[in-house]
Amino acid sequence: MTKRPQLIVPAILLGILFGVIAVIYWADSASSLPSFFPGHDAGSVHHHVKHGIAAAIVALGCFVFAWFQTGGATKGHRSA
Amino acid sequence: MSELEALLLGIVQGLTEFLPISSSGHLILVPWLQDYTFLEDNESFNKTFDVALHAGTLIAAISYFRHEVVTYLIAFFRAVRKRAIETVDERVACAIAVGTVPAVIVGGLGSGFIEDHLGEPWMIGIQLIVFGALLGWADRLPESRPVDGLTLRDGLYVGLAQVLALAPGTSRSGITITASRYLGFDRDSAARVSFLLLIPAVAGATVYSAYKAIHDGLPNDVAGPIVVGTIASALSGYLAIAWLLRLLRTHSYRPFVLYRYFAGAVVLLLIATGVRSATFG
Repeated sequence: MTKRPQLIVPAILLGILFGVIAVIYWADSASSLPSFFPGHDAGSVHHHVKHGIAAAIVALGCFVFAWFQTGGATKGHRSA
Repeated sequence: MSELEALLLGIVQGLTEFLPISSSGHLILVPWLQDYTFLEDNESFNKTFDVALHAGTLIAAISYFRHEVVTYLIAFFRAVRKRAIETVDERVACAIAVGTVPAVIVGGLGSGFIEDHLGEPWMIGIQLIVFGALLGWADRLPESRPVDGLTLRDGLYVGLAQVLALAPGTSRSGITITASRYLGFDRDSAARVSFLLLIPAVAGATVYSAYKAIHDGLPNDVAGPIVVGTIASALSGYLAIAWLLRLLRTHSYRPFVLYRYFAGAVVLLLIATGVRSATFG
């Protein structure tokens, strides 16, 4: 995997952003979500738990990606 | 629901989850063909039973691929600890992880739309035929890569294809096998990639659905059908994996393509002749 250290900070920032989005989905009902959020529904008390899980997975993916970019140079593929 | 009905649906789930013919489509079509509305009329039980059937197929996949599961889990965490992908096992494990993400995102954002708008019998009939044709086309392509050749990019592509399987009738195993064959994997490897991708996706969905079912309150008197359905699904799923991998040593995916054509045509014919309704509405 090619290392791209310049993407570490953007990946962490994106991860934090999606982490916050996940928390908003879990904490707020559909009516309390910002109107530009997918799932916003005026008058609904439903919590979009699955939307929050999706956002959390994206956040986790960003953090894992950033984590891998901080490692040393990758050796060539060899058998386990 | 009687234990016999649970047994039938458990066997249907186990067989069709791993064979490229659509489990969700068959779980909708089998009751539809029999005018069996118990699951439709008992939403709470339906959700709990669905969790049980998927737990059964998860048990089947983990049991059959237990060595691979342990190997890839260790390899994945080893790669994360080292912050580098250095071995074949680490690469395959990370590719499976990457391939799981698209379905989680789209499934999470689109579950409401999927439940409300997809899964009508006419849609399932068409998808059985269309994605069957796609599988037949991809299966004619050359076989040049083993499962060890799976890269992160392959994982992402197969994972994106897996998103299409959120629509009942597509077949999760069918579309991931189609994508893998298109990427040049041999038939056996395509099936293995498909089954390994199933494990994290179904594990996550099963844990979430089980939590939700327990949180919402389990319906009464469900223990018998749930146990029978889970065991039937696990056993038939295990046998389906073993049978398919053995079949692929000497055969192509053509029998499943032909079955999909037949099943889709029967569904559309029943609808066209008015024997069954095109929708549940």
